[in-house]
This record gives sequence, C-alpha cells and structure tokens, in this order.
Amino acid sequence: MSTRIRTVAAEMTGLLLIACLAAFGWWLAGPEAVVPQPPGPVSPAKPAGLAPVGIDSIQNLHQTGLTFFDIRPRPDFEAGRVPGALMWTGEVPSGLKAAVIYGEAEDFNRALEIGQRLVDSGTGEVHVFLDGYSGWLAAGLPVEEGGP
Amino acid sequence: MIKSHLRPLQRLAWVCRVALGVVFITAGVLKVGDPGRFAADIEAYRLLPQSLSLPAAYLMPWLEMASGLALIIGRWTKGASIWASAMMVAFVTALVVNLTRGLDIDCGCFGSKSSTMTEALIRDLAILPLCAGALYSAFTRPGPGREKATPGS
Repeated sequence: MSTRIRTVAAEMTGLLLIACLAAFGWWLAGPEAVVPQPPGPVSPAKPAGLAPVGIDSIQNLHQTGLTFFDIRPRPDFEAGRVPGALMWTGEVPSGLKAAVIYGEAEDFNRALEIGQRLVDSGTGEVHVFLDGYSGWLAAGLPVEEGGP
Repeated sequence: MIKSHLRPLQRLAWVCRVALGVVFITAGVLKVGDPGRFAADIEAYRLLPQSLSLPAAYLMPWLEMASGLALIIGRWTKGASIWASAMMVAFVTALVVNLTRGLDIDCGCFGSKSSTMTEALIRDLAILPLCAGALYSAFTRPGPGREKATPGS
C-alpha cells in the first residue's frame, strides 16, 4: 500500500513540476511569442475587454484618472461616492476610452452588463470593481458627497 | 492500447480516461494563449487572493494539458486522474459557491466568453463521471510493464 501511495505521490509531483516548468517558460517567453498575432492593425484598436478588479487595483486605477461610473440610485450616489465618479445615466458617452464601473457588491451582475455595453460600444478598457462602494468604504478611502 | 481481454467495465473506464484527457487538453489549449484574460476570470470568482490570480492563470492550463496528455498516453495515469478529478471538483465547487452568491458570469472554463456559470456547472457535472471512470481505469488497470511488481501489492 505504501508503494502505491508513493507511486501516486511521485506521479502527481512529476506532473505538477512539469506544469510549473512549462508555465514558467511560458511566462518568460510571453504568450505573444508563440500564439501568432495578426500582422499590423486589422481593425480599430482592439478592445482589451472587460476586467474585474479588486480593492488592490482600484486605488491605482483611481489615481490614473480613469472615469468612474456609479450605477447606484441617485440618493445613494449623493450620500457618498468615489471622488470624481459620475452617476450612470444609461447613456454611453462618446469617445470614452477607459472606465471603471461600480455599484454595491450585489450589483455585480448589473455592473458587468453595463461594462459589456461600454466594451461593445468601443470603450477599450473597462474595469468592474468587484467589491463595490462598500469595499471602497471598508478600505477607508476618501469619499465625495452631495450632488454631481 | 486497449487489450481485447479487458472486461467491458475496464474498456469503458479506458474510454472515460482518454475522453477526460481530451477534455483537459482542449481546455488547457484554449486558456493558455491568454493568461491575462483567464486571470481576470479567476479574479471574478473571488475565491483566490488577487495576487494568486495570475500565477494560477499561468499554471492551471499547463497542469490541465499535462494531466490530459498523461491520461491519453497511459503514463502516470494515477497521478493524472487524481489531478484531473481534483481540478473538476474544485471547478464545480467554485461554480456552486458563486452561483449561490448570485453571480452568473462568464466562467472562463474553455477560453474567453464560452459559457455562463450555470451552463458550465451542468457541463462539469456531466464530466464528473469521466473522472470516476478515469480513476477506476488508472487504479485497476493491468500492466506489469507499467508498474514494478512488488510482493503482496
């Protein structure tokens, strides 16, 4: 029995080592080196797409000056929001290159839908804040109050 | 290769093992080309710390492919079937946890924008029997050439 356990452990370890080595090599090489990219731009700037972000990344994004959209109801928006955030009115602004969408944590699905709308409309980079306004508050980050 | 004298159950288990290998290689190949996107999908599950999303996104497809290849060629099948089964259980658990949270987003299981979590859960539950077959095949397969014969083992 111990021989079988050793065999199983050795096989699992071997596979994990192989996977680690391959993953490390892949990371060094960069997937672009193996997966061929189309030569030259074949379409307008390809959208990076929709990316969920957590509290660690959201502060960096805020400091880079990205447009933040708050999808919560107006009373909640006016009671407190991420500084500089705009209230989501349902209209996709023209010429928007990048944005962050947030609501409450339980609004995540709706935030994703709105984010996808922005991506489909040509916004190159859209982030959805996973933890919502509650996460922003819990992190002790500054807030803005009052009407827009 | 399969031997004609194998019992029907062993033959079925062999088929399950190879099929599971094909599934895992396919899943790995579809995810390996875009680790950034896969990392975002992992992060959306909110089950791993954010710092581990990218390392997991690089490692997981290769582990899938290595396990899948091992299952197909019939080498290290015990370890491969356990890894494959463990990953399937983890995937199903993650999907169930997030569905109970009310999230139903792109699961990231087979590359980008492949299916919702509900669809993925149904698919993964259908794959679990393949895991059972692969485990049976790996742990009961005859083959004096594959393992060293030890007295009483």
